Amino acid sequence: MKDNFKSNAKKSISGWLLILPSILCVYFMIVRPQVLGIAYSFAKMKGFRIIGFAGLDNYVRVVKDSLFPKLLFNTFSYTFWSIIIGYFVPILLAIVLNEMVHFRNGFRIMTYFPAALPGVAVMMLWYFLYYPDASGLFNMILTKLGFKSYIWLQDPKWVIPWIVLPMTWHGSGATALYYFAALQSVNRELYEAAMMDGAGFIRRIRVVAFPHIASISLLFLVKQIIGVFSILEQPLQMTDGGPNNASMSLGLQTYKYAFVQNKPQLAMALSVIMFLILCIATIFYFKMEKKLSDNM
Amino acid sequence: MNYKMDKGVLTSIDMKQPKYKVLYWLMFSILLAGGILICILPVVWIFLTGFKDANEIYDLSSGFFPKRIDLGKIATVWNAMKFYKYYVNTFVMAGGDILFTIIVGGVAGYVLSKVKPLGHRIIFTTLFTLTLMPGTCRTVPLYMMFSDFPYIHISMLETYWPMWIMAASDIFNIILFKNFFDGISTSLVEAAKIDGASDLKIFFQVMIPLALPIFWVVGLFTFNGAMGTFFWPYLLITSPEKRVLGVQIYNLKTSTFSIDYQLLGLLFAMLPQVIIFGLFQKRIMGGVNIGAVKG
Repeated sequence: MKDNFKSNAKKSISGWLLILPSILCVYFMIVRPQVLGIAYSFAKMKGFRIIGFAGLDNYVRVVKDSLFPKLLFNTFSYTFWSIIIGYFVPILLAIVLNEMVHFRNGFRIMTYFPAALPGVAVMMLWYFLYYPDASGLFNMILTKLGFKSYIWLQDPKWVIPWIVLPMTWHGSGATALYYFAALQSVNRELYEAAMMDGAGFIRRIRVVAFPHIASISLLFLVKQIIGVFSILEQPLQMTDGGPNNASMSLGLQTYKYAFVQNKPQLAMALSVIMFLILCIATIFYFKMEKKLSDNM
Repeated sequence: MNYKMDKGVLTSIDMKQPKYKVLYWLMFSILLAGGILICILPVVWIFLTGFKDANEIYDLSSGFFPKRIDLGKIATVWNAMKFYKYYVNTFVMAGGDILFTIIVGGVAGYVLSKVKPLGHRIIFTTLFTLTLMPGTCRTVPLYMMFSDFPYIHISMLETYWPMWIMAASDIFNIILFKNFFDGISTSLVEAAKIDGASDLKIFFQVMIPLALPIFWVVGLFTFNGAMGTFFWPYLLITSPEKRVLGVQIYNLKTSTFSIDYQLLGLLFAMLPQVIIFGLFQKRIMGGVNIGAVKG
């Protein structure tokens, strides 16, 4: 009994010692900044120094900022376009990939290729494809076809979909692989049964394949919404929020508040607002995931 | 043609019908053309256009291909842009990321899966709950912490330490390790323990060899992630001496280099990952599914 206790204690102490570094890292990188980020959003600050308590002042200033409605609209616009452009591409891609008998592996490698490139390089690559004069690939094609060249990223009306497009280009290959794996796990007898009933290709996809990937596709949808809602890096790299704030997002504004305008307290107030919105979305996501896995 | 191994919705029986044959080859052609045009062509265009000189690029009548391909230009651009330095910096950062992820995260996964000290369930649940939390409001406090780290009061600005510690605190990897280790039989661990081996020794001498696939996957994904890291190095490292590839590529936009140099430079930023992908494409594409939790 005593020996057992001793060996248990020894096991626990050695285990705690080994897991301590990772717990310290998690504390300093996640827990502490999370708590401080919320606390500091109520602080009066001078540069990055705290000089007092501000109450809800920071929140009022952030929400009353003349840019705020535009930021909110743009952020929803990013989310909207990322669903329109990016949500269905991987599903379609996976369905077609799944049918291929010839060159099957080659196709998978080819469609995954963009996902293997570094994120910044992808955005810069597209920055050059979009080059507004004739030297960009897209304008080269347009002028060769006899059209006038176009300003792409400098068009305030369409700049957001132009930023979303390379994100889709970059991400689709990897997402398609998930769907592909899901399609591979469909019980083949279901297809055979559907065939017996005379179901054609489209009908078999609708009746057998779609229900099979429905749950993960719903999860991906919510995940994508959560991810794109805090978009920051891509507009920073492509347009820096321009032209005339047309591609500014909530996330990019927190960066500008903190590191361009030197008002970190406003950055934190705005990011707490984002945090609350995202928390609601995350709770929704888990409610849904639970419901889906219960049904399976 | 042999359709014995049916994989898709269309089966070998369908393929006897002309309409499905047409449908199949239609999808095949669209995928082939689309794949080449959309996935591959942009990168090839960058490469070819990089070989044109600036005048040729702006000349509307010039075609898709450059007049001549001078391979010496690659070396010229490499030297002019001092890519050697950025490669070394990035590899140092990426190497540290991998070490920290594998050692700190891997050991944590091992402890949670095999050592199971008192309270391991609470630790795991806490970690998992933290992954669900949106990270939006951490940026500013993290920045403040890196410029003056609490308790020890040193500045981590202009170093790779912040990236390394962040790699070590990646909970997704800890969970990934734990889940993979859970699938490995405990008998070998027990046997080593009876022989008197310490937990750390068991991790390095028993766990790593047994769970090699997960170390490959996490290592490769960490490397790829590091090659494309932008935000934190951009924020924390201002000295050009310490700059990494991702940030340098972004800086090209505003540099004084002519556009053909910028395009070839972009290629250098993609090269390490393309090579890694070429060498390890099976592990990487297989890993996408192992890492499903990471999304």
